[in-house]
Amino acid sequence: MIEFIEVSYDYYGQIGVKDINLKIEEGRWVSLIGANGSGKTTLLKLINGLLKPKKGDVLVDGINTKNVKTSFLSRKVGFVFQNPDYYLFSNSVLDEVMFAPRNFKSSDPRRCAKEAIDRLGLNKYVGRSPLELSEGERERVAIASVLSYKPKYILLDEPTKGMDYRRKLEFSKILMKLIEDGHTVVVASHDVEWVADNSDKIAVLHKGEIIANGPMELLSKDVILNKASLIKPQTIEICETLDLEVKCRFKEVSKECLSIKQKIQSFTR
Amino acid sequence: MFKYQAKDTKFHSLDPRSKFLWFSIIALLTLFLENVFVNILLIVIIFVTAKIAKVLKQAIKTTLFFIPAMFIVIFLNILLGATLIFGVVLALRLFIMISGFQVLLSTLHPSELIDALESFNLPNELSLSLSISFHFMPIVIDDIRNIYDAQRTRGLEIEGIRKIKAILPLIIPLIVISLRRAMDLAEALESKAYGSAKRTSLGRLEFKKSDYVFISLCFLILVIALIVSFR
Repeated sequence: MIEFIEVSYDYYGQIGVKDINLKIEEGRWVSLIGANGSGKTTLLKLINGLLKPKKGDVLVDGINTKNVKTSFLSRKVGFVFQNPDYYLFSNSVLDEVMFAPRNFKSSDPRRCAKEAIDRLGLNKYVGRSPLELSEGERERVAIASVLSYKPKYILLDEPTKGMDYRRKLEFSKILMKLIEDGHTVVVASHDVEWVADNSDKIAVLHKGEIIANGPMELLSKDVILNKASLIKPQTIEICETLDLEVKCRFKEVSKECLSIKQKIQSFTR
Repeated sequence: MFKYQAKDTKFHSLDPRSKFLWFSIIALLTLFLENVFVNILLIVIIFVTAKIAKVLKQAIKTTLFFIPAMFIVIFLNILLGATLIFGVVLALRLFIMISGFQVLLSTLHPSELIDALESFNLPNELSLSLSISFHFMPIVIDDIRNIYDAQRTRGLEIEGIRKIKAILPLIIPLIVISLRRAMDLAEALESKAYGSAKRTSLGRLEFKKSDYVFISLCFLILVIALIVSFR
């Protein structure tokens, strides 16, 4: 479990996050949402020790991040940065994805890398230089290079940036599979629609503070959305228009719509 | 670091050429005069200016970052047989140049910088390149920090002797990112028809009363520093 206890962090006087209390349970998909500069990335960086809290404590499976090095925490906590170009330097996609398992002295780095490449559908690029791929493909190589060493907690900063709708769906399936395998996914994202369709829980940030924390249905509350400058997900809009119980996932909403359609058909017959 | 800070202060409102003159006098004095007291006086002037321009925090932050480099300069000088005083003067020079440059760039808007360079009859292409390279410095520093963090999260040990091994995973992404950004910038400039005709400027640089007072003060400092060192 990841636990934030009264955590504050500032960048030379400018608030990053303030008085954060948050628990992230294992095997869940938790999304951090909020406007630009609301503190989402700071929160992620505090989890894997890239930033050390100036006040309070961050505990990862009981380990205080203040007391250990980032390279130690990284075995447990994988971090996918917003810009894939921060990672890529190898001659081939395979070498790039093998980089982390090699550093962590994995028994079979090649097998770990091949598994991650398989998951991300990068097989046809294995021998190519990651630098000559498109932005979406480079993003997937960066994600594969983190998944390759199978960290227990996977932190993703704006992972759907540069992905088309189909790619987003495929990527959601990959993350769902990771959760089934016992991993925990923490996402910082602007993409409210994608977050609403996939997450188990959300934490809404505004100016470094958590203004709401709980189930996805919180996204139906106008007060929270307005404060965080977010737009209501379409699924909730549909539920409200049809006077249905609020649901966030497309599948659940379309199921409800289908049952309404069947009721209307049976009534008209 | 080396980032422009938009503030409403008397120093910000000065003509960019006055600010250039301020930095030039400080740079020349520290380069040509070896007097420790003059160098300390220059440090005081820089930090008083930073306080007036409300960029003191940035100036302190940047200079603190370079403190280890100053100790290395002193250590190397002693190692090569120079006196301690000479090493200290060299370190102070480095300190003055960095803090002065920080104050100059924090108070000089990129467009002001271009206007000032063009007023010295530099071709527009050159002044634009210089302005871009100055103002890209904070972005490149941010990139270095992010690349360093990204590689650390993939288990790269960047400590002790392992630093040498860690150079490639840090340098290659930095070069690639910088080249991509340069190409994007070139395309953006071309798409805005840069270079298709002779450029004109919206604003004209003009010295105000405050500039004359400030320039007089700069020359007064120059004279005092010369008297102190040649007395």
